[in-house]
Amino acid sequence: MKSAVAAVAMLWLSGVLESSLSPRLAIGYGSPDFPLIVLVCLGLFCDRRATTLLGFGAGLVQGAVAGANLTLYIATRSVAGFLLGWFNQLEVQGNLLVAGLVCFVVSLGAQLLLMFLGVYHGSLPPFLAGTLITAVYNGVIAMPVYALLNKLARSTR
Amino acid sequence: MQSVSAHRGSLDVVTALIQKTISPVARPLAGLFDAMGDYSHGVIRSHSLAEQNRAMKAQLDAMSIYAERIDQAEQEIENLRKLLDQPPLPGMTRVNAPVIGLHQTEGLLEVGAGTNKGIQPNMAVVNGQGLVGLVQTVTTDECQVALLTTLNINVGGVDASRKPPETGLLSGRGGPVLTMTLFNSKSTVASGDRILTEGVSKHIPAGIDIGRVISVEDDPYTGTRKASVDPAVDVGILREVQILK
Repeated sequence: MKSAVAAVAMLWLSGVLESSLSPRLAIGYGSPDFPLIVLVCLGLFCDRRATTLLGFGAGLVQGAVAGANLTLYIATRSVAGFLLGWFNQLEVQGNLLVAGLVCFVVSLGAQLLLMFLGVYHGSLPPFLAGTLITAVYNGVIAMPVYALLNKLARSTR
Repeated sequence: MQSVSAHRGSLDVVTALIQKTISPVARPLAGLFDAMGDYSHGVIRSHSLAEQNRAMKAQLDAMSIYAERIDQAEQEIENLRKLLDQPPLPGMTRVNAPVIGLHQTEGLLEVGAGTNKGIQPNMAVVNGQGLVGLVQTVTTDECQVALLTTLNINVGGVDASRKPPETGLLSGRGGPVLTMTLFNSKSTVASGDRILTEGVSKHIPAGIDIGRVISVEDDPYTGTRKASVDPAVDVGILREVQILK
């Protein structure tokens, strides 16, 4: 129950940051995707069911903040969450670098999935460049966030 | 559900609910991030901002000087317009002349018209604002005009604001104001009254503005009333005058 409340709080915080900070950190078409960062960083501590639910929440927040099609965001983030849960089953030793790399890959995958589902209708190169910048941003931000969560998780055990 | 709401031009319930929970915190936070961004931008570019600031201050100074000059030019235009609009004086001719120099300490004005234009001593000199002074010395093409405020210059004046008009003698004391000695010791002359020339002298016609009364006091030694009069003419901006011959 505590974990669920913490997850909801973190998703809410990610929505706040997505709405207020993300546009101010934009480089070209790319900017940090805070709900996705929360999905990866929290998801690394969860099982497949929980990561899928987290993905659902992240998609909901991201879609609502952007005022976009909720279904597509929920679908892509849920798939990303499910795959993250599957990755967790590989029992890879979690550390900052892994968190950064996983966040980078998940961001790329989620955005490319959005593209294939037809969210983006403009020219492809700017979208891909933006996706790459977003993925790098997310990977970099995920490392300290993961470190913080890891510390919190250890202290509560 | 989302498409139906979009067709109606509104947000669906879920999106609206999430946005409502997020925006009360996100909005002030966005303002804070903007302020932080501006601050860091200012710190990083402090040198160029300081230079820009200096350049803008210099521009502002230049503009204020320019605005001052425009005001002066407008005042001059207004004075010239008044000069041109002066009514004709019976038996007198107006001779337009440029002001060549001003010696404020001595209370003298150099004007570019002399005997070649028929100018003679004691002729009245006016501009659009009123009586400037009296011609003192004349050469072939120039003359010196003693300003009204010059020591020992006396002109008969009348208080046009009173009925019947009150008369008196206006004298320069070398200062910025004139002293009007009122002939009636029970005179009702008061601050703000307009003083015009009386027209007793054959050189100074009646009805030319001299100035306004700024204070009135009794002189216990002579038993007369004296009024201080602020001259109507602003000598500092004189460029053109008319000599009445």
